[in-house]
Amino acid sequence: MDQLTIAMVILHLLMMAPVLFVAVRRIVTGNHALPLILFSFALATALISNIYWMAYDLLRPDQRMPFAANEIGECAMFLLLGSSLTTLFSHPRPAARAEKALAILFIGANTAFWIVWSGEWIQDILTGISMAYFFCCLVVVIRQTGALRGPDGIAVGFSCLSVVVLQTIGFFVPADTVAVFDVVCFGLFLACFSVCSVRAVLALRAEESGGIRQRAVPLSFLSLAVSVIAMYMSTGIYYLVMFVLASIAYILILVSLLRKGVVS
Amino acid sequence: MIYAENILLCIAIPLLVSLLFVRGLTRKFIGSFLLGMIVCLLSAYISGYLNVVTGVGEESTAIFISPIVAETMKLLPILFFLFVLVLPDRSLTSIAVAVGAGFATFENCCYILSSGADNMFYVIIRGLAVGVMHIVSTFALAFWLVVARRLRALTFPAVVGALSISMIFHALYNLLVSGGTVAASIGYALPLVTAAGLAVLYRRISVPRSKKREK
Repeated sequence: MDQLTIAMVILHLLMMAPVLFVAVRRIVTGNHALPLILFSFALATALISNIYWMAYDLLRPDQRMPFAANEIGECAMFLLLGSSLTTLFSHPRPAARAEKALAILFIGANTAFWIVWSGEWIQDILTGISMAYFFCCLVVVIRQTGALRGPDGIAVGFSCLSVVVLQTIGFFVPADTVAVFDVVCFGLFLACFSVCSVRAVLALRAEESGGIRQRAVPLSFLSLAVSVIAMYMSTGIYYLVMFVLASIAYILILVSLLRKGVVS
Repeated sequence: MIYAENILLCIAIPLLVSLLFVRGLTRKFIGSFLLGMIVCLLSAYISGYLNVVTGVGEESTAIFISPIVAETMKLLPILFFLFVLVLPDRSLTSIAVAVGAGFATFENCCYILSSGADNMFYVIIRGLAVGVMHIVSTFALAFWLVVARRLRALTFPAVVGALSISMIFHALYNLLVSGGTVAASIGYALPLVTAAGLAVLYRRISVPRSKKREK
């Protein structure tokens, strides 16, 4: 583990620990809103998973991590994030069958990529299933709130499709071309993250002035989803950039959950 | 080679007999302590089986697979007490501590019988580290579940979350202890530091006393 990685991981942990502290403090002081509680649980599992990952990389830098407890922590994190989303908005929820099918296809393709890249079946399938649950919850809430309509929705969908196509082609072309594809995919995800997070901030400001309601939460969750997917698809500096962006997404989620004033 | 089943019988019989003469929370505690020892034996069987099936080697099994198996096995009796017997919060955390203590005691007995107990310093370190670690991981598991129940957030993801926290804590301890001197020292201190933190948290935030009187 090089010094840059250690610095980035420590930065990530330093950003996440106060977020968890604030969330727990709000719960202790009486905000017993279920979405916030489940989000705090997710944050706690993410934090301890990352601590384990850092300890492993420091102690065994040359050895790839086998199936370990932190993989289950990541699965729990996705399940808790999905649960947090489903408890956010009241019934009736739209069926959103087409969106769910597309989300499952996207995660299925990603899971296939992870298996091919790493050769690890069990953890990749477990992570894929829990992530598919999270994405299904996410698309339902996005549909319900209309958080990603028009050009933004088309751009995010097109980016996801492009990434899957490029990564699939990557198995049949020389390594130099794959490197170019990886940069393009990273750029697409970075653009998606920027769009979602900026839209989430704008929605938060609009909510403050009584404008568009309830869009900040799904958009901030989408920022996190994009950063995590991009993280799993990247290596080296690209991975670290997405790792830090994921912490920004956690902060956005907390702020949007607290601003929404979720009640149990 | 040690005969773990025989050791279990030897320790369990006096405890089983003692159950005839005690009542209330003491009986629950001793029963759960016994359960913890049985869970430890079953976990060792499963970990040994997975070692053979996966072929990852004894060291990797101990560091990576055992925490997953042990914490899952410890979760099962707690889930039974939580969902089937619907015990109040304080009973549940006491029972979780007893399961953890039973697990740690039996594991330490087997370890000492196989490796010897001539080095008193190391034996004390083991008692303070592994012994406390199992209690802390099981208590944290039960505490999370109790908090989730009180906040009406006791869902499948919350149970998986609790399980993952205890698994990672156990795995982190195993990983640190298997490292160099500095890492091992941090590993040995980790359970005690966490136990102190959890005790403060337990007193400060939560699990208010149940109105139901303990029997």
